[in-house]
Amino acid sequence: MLAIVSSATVIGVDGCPVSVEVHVAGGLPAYTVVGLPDAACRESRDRVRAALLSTELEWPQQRVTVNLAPTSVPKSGAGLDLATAIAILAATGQVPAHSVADHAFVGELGLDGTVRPVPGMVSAAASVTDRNLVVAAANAAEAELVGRHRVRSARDLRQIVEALRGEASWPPPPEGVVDTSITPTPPDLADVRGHLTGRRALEIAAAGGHNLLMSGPPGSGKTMLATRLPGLLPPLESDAALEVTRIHSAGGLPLPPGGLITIPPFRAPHHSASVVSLVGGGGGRGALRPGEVSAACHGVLFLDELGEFPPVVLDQLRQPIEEGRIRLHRARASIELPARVLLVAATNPCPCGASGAPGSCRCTDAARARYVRRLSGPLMDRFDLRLTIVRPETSELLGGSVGERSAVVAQRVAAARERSRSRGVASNATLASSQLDEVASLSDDAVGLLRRHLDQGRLSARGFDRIRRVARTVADLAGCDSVDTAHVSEALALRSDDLRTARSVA
Amino acid sequence: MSAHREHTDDLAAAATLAALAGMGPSTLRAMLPDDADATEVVRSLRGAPAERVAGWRRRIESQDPDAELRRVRAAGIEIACPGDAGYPRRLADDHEAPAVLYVRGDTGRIPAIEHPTAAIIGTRRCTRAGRSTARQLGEALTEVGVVVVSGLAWGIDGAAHEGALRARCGAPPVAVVGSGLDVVYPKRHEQLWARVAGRGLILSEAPPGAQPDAWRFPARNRIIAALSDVVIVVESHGRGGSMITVDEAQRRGREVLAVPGPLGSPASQGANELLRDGCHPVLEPADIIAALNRIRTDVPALGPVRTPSDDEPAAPAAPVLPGPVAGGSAGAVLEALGHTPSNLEQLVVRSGRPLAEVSWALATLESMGRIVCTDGWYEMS
Repeated sequence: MLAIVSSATVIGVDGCPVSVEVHVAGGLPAYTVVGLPDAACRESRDRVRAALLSTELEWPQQRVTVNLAPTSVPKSGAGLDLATAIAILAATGQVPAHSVADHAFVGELGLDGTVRPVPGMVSAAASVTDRNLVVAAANAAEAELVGRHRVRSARDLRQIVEALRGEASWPPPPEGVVDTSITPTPPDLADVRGHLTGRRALEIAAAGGHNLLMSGPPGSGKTMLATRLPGLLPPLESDAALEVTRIHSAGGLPLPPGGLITIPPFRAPHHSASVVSLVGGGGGRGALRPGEVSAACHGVLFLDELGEFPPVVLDQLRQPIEEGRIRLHRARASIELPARVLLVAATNPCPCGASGAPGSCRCTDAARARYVRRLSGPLMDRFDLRLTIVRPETSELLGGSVGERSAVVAQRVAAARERSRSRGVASNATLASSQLDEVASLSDDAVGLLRRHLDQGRLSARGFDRIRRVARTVADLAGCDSVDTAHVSEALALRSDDLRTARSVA
Repeated sequence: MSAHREHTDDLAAAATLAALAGMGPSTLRAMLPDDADATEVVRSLRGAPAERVAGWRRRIESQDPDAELRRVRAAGIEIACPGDAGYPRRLADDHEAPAVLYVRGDTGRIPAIEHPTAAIIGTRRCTRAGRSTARQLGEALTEVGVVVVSGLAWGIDGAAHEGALRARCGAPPVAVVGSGLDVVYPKRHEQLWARVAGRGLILSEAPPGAQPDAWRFPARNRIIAALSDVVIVVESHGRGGSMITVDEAQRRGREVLAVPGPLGSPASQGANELLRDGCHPVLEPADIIAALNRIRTDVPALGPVRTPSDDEPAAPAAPVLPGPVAGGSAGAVLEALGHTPSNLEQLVVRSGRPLAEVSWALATLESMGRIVCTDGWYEMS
């Protein structure tokens, strides 16, 4: 009268194995779930009961106790439905008890007995060891990615029961059921007319992992440029690809055909996004779903209209962007989500939407000061590159020559990244000040140029380090070992100062 | 009681009226016509039963005129009414003359305002070129003895006075501000404010402690117009405070001149429209002297012409451009920059040079102090 069936749940982006224990005994008919279930888990009773009856199986008119072990881990979602149903069937002898021993079941049940896919299948599958995995047909490709077990998939409960009883063989793996709605390739840089500096800034950002701030009037092409950045980044390596796939799977985001995400993701949350949707922690009690920042891990996080994001949201982004991970603490669980993103932000120079050129603004002093204040502060220190954007001339839009393709630029980026990696540095943007003297030694001319800028107060000490990091990347792109005046000049032309300090000396 | 004592009472009474809550220039003018006796007005307000003056009466009931005068003088501020020696004569003749004028600086300089005066005005949101022009004009005019009048605001106004202060000798600079004379606005001009008071005069019709409320600035502009023989607009947007000063000047028959700006530059739109409407252009200080000569006979002659490069501060003795970018591309970039603020993209497109070369030239020019970069926008310094 007792059956134990393996399953798994997801917390954050990590899977956690769960044993579903069902005890069926005499007494008044009742159904109890214990072991930190959330609302969706507790509702499973009605789904499981309906699914059994629709499949012409028997619902025990006895006292049913369901325990989800380990009881200390919060469970969420409907992924345990299938395991619960199988455990009840095994406890009541409707399927042979020995047949379920070497299987783990993850899936949601429909009232008609359909087995539905659940988010986070990659992580859930990774947490299951030494067992065959039974999942919904639509989840099969995701479960296969882990590559450690035999994956069985089924469309409905009847197929599973028949296979467990030995009345039929397992259905063949499905083909082409994965969501193909997301484009496999990001937009190409060749479509961008004009924007010579924009292209170059993207190339440097991609090569050195430098965060980029673009400021320009509405319609000048900021978003268009930002969406081209993932195409310049090297494809994800296997570890990174699996990590990104796990995050997207756990967040319930669509996966590309084949399941594995190999192209760096691009996420552009709207400025009305809540803190939870950005840094994660949603999805009901205990679920702690990853947010947009984690979804952009190993890719690009694009914040359009940076000045419109509430200050409290921007504050929350600071730590993840500095440390490359998010720590979430809740009463029942604390987790870490990966968040190694390349941050790209766009902003209007001021609320009136003018070009940003001195003298062009029509804002009142107060409105402008308020806007600049929002864009100042610690988050601004995270941007190594700052780009002012103007609308390209009509002649460039109509007649201008076609620019380089993303693939060509990506080759240079890959070569530059290889140079920086050969020095033992993951990306130039993370170079510590103490490392700069060693890896980014400046030529005498370059030192003289920067000294004149420092002496005239045009560069702060922090700005000085940022210039050297970016100049290191420019030199890497040029294939140079030492950092020269030309490299420093480009870094200076794309330098980012705190807007407030820059204004006050104007 | 001596005549002197009587006049002090009048001043105290006038100061009290001006400082009452809710008092504006026109109400004050109505209460204190030129021949009015301020002491009498205060007394009549106190005694008057009419409902119309009830509000004023209640407010003045609690005031002590002598204490008010002490308060003003303790702040280092003088006070004058039309007709006083400390009140500029040409302002007293104006039909909207402030009934009470507060003065900071040596009141012995008040008669200097009867000399030729020129207002240099413009927008707060100006370009570096505009500021530089205002400075040049301010210095040149001050040096030959033309009083430069302006508003001490951020931007063109402040630059005009910076120029006036740069002159080694000449006429005292005169500023007319909107706030009380002990309320420095904008805060960033605290030093400039003190230097103008040290060399010249700061005037206001707002009582000490008055905040820079928005309505005070258009009212202040009429005083600038009334004090000036000519008004020079250096940079102005299509609408704004400078255009209000222009209207006030034209109502008073003062000549308005404008400095032409690049076509399409929003900061010069107002000035360029004035030129189209027939204002005389200002291309050099001599144009202003010529305009003054048309209306006055006591205009000083302009000294020897100074080249613009003389008056740039800290213009370093041009160091040789380092590296292979020397000459060629630096020149091309300077030419592409011209006098319009431009960003990197525009300079690359206009000069037709590769981005690396342009940024090299920019970094070099900037380190030499020839150009200035603000938030990614380059301007000639």
